[in-house]
Amino acid sequence: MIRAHILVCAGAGCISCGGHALKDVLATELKKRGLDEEIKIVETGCMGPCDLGPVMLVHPEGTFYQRVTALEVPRLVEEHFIKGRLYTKLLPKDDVTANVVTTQRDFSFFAKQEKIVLENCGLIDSENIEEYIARDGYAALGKVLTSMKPEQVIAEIKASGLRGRGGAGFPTGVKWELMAKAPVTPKYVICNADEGDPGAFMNRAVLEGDPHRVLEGMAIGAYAMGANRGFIYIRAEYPLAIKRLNIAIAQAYKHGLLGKNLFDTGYDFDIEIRIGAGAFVCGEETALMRSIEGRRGQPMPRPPFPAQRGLWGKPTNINNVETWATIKPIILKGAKWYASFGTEKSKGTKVFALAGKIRNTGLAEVPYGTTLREIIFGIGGGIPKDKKFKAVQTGGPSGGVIPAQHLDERVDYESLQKLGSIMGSGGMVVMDEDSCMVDVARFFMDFCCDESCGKCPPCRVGTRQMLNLLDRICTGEAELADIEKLESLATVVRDASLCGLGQTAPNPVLTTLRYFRDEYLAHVVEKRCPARVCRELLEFRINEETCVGCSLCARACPVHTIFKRDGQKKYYIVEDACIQCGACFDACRFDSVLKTSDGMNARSVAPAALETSSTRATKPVMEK
Amino acid sequence: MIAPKKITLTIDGRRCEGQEGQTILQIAQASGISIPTLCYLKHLSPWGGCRMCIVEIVGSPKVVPACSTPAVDGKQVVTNSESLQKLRRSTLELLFSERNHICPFCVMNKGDCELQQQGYRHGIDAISIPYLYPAWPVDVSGKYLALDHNRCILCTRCVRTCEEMEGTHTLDISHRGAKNRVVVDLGATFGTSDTCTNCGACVAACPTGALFDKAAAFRGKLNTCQTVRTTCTECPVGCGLLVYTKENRIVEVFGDFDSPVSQGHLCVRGRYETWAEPRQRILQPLLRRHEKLEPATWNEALEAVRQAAKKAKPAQKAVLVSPRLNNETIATLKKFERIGMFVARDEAALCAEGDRSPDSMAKLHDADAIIVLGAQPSRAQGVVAAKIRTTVRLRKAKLLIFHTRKSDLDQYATICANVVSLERKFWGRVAEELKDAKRPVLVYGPEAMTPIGVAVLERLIKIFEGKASGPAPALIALPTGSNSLTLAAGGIEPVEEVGPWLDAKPLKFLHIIASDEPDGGARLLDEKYVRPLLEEIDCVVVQAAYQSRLTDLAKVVLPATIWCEKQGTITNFEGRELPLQAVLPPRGEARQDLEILNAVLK
Repeated sequence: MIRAHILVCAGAGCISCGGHALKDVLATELKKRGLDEEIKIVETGCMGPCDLGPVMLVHPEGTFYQRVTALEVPRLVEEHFIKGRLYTKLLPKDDVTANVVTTQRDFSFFAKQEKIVLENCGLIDSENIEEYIARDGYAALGKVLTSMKPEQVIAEIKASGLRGRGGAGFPTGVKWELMAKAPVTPKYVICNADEGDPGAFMNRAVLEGDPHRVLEGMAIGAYAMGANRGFIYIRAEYPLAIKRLNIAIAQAYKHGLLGKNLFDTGYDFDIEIRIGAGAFVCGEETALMRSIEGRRGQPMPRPPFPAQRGLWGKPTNINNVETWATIKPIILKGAKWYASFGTEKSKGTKVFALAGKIRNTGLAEVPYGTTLREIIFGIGGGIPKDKKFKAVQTGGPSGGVIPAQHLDERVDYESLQKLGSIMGSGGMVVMDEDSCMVDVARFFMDFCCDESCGKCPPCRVGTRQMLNLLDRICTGEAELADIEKLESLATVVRDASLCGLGQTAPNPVLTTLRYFRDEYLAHVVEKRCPARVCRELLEFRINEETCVGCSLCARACPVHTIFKRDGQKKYYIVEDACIQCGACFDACRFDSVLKTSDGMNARSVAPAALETSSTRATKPVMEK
Repeated sequence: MIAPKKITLTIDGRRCEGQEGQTILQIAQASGISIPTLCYLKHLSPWGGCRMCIVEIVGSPKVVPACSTPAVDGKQVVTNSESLQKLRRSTLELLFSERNHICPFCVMNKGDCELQQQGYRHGIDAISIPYLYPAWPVDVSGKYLALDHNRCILCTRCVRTCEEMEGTHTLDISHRGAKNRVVVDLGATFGTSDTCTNCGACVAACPTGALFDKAAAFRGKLNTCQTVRTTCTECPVGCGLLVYTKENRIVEVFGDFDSPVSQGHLCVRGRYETWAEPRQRILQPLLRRHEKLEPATWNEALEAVRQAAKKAKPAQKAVLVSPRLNNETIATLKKFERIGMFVARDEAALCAEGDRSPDSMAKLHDADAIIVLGAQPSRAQGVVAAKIRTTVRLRKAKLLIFHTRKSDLDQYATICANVVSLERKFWGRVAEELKDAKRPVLVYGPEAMTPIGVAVLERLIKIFEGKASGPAPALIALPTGSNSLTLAAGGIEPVEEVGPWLDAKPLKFLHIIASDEPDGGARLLDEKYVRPLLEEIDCVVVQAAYQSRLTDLAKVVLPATIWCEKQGTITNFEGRELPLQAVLPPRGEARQDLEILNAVLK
């Protein structure tokens, strides 16, 4: 008789801090204590609060343990399973209510979420199809194949209001309808599991934690659209997800849930995995298809759209992992149920990946219409170390920054677009007062420049030229005219690029200019970085009043430019040779190294910096 | 076949008619509306990458490239708004800033370069962003082809040409983003490439001076040249040539895109070897006096020939001609009692009995199964090899090869047999591969006429006859001599082994017409016993354009015209009559083959 379940999170975050080892140690300890027959250990997918990993959930109580290390296991087993007491040392503290959390239900991180896509993640063993089936797995597929016509499936998806979760937000039902109408065969469905946005791992959690729901969604969609073959294009950087998908696919075939004559209805559906090779641009659907065909992953102009001419010239439907993962609950619980979540134009829920300067980094699934404040402070736990919120970057390198004055905006496609950003795939990077917005823009432009496929000059050369300008701004070498140049290049790259990568690459620049222009001006005119991030604009000084003379800074300095005052236990920095590496700042335990950006390093704050292209004098014409 | 639906677009306010399936650019160009392009070539698949042909469609938020966007009935298109012009200008500025496009020392300067043309068209004389000045290399390692990466705009016209016209896919783009560059094979150079056939189609396709060839570089600005269309006579395909000349000098040779045979494609022989190889041209008649060949006048030379001919009885005179003589010579040649055409090994039967199938090139293009039996098109008929490669790789035709020598086509073949097995299982496999063929083509060369070749041919015919359904294959003969099928059909005996032919009856007079054979007829001497036989003949007259070991042993040498000086017609392997139009006047004292023959006969 099993009296308790220990769910050990085996999502990527927890594995990276020792989750696998934890499971083995737990198993050994339970066996040592003779408890291995009555307590079952289940390895699940990502539970969500990745910052607290490795995490563990004990059922039936629902006790949530955080930061469980191998060393803690013996005491935890003794306290919780033998003495029947909560092991309070490993209980999390709720940042919002400031209470110690005893059960998952009381944890505000989870309480405010609505898990639809993630309903099984963290609950089931993703390598065991039977656990998926036990939670209504493949019931939707059975229902569709045995009692619904393809048109009815499409009507249901249309009625649900589901929009593509990959970033564009195109109504999924309409997309399926277009594909279903295409008269050419064979047709294909594709799952875009390339997830290239830095800091985004929503798809990864689903693929690792609940892969069958993706397979089921694809099978349902393929039936509705008249396809018999599906491909999952997954990035090579997700080996665990690839492994779990392979296991899931093999199990599905074995159980007759993939392959020939599904549910005895004569419908065939096969799925193959195709692995990427490290190119962000292959997340773009036309580049993705070319990659599957074995060609260079370079996008092709649209129209023609994939539903008309896609893989090998045949009609193809591509959806994101999260979109496919939403099909099963819509079919089982109905379109009306799904449409009851969200806002008027953005129905349902979205999984967001919280990262950056936020207490609870991890995954959070909330209905559309939840405000940014609720997500960042309610679920995310706010900014650590009590720093001030500055901005949140949504949508990855295609998105934009949203400043504090818009924290009460509801998160949906239209609102974010109005603010100059995009929903994207759901990445949310939080920034505080110590983030330099120009540096943020430069980071994302560097990413786009590196990942550009190089087919069209506006993106290939335009992002390079914009990056050069941003570099100059961050190193204090720019003039005001460079900001104008940046803006005009941004327009060209946005309007003339062939695909979404180039078209959205200027967004971080454009939004940071819109909301934080003062920071740009500080960098350019005053040669000052208000957030004290941009190295070339920093000055380091030692506060000799508080300096205790421990010499740690001098020893850390790689260019040996920190010296001891004669006869005193005080140190000082000779600024000429300082390379602004910050090693002394990191080394000092007494807060005596001051990192400032006052514009003292300005190469020239001369009037020349204030010239714009319109005020610059024209070259005098030589008079004959 | 249902005719495509007619549609109408309104472009810049004008009603333009077209067909469903056409792109905006096709309809615009047909209506005489000019939209700038850089990466577009109408015979290649559209790329949509240069962003020059972007247009606005009323009702759509984003611009679209006209070259790849299907035209939708009723839409309104704007091609030249101010914002479009600004975007195009900015795109050009970005291109100019990206690499080192320095005009003054470029082969395409002053009007031939399309990047330069677009620059001027958009009023660019300076750019508003910094030059990046990257350090790109120049690859001049190839025999003919060279690649200057500093001038490349990454339009991929060369990549698509190599893939869709030559079929070897030697060129592609490597790396990503700003690090993109054109590569040969997997990072080789032109000089070390394993797959490059030197066809030069990439150079012809390149809009800038990035790809250029050593034959034509700096010989003249194309936009100041005269052009003449003629036909290549190096092999029986008969590709169309478009030759650029200036001041009686060849500047460059392009393929003629209007040619129904080759559609603009050429191989290395027709594009380069006919004029860019170093050869010694014979420019005046030569007479052997005192053991040495010395220049003479035409009168002197012709007189010497007539005298020598008079001394021989009709049966002691013979004429041996090159298989590349044009059609007009046939009537005159037949006047000789002993007349033969020297052909390669095993080609005699091929020339005599070879099938000519009308529109063979089109049939190869549309084939779904191609059998190559005893032929080496990669060596001898480059454009046919290109057609086979593209049909097999791009249009997914099956390829079966039976031969005795390896070739680059083997890698694409479903069945490639160089030792013929008479095993049932093997032929069962062949039959299996061919069972669904609806448009089969059988191309056969000299080795098909050997006993083994004939045996294989019979087996193949049996397979086709035994098929339940499907047509018989189109049969296409591929000799190496360019007009040999026509000359043979006209009654000129093809001679494989010159020795026995010469030895049949004692000769006192032999007139060898080597015409503009690149080797000057020297290969005749490679056959055993020919040299001593020639030395026994009283008078050997060689009519040739190029000096060789053969001309060196002649009594009289008569200078012939070369390909660009010839006038007349040939008939290619399809049975299509093709014109030879003189591009330049004959050099020196050279005369047309027929003219010399008639003068000799007088």
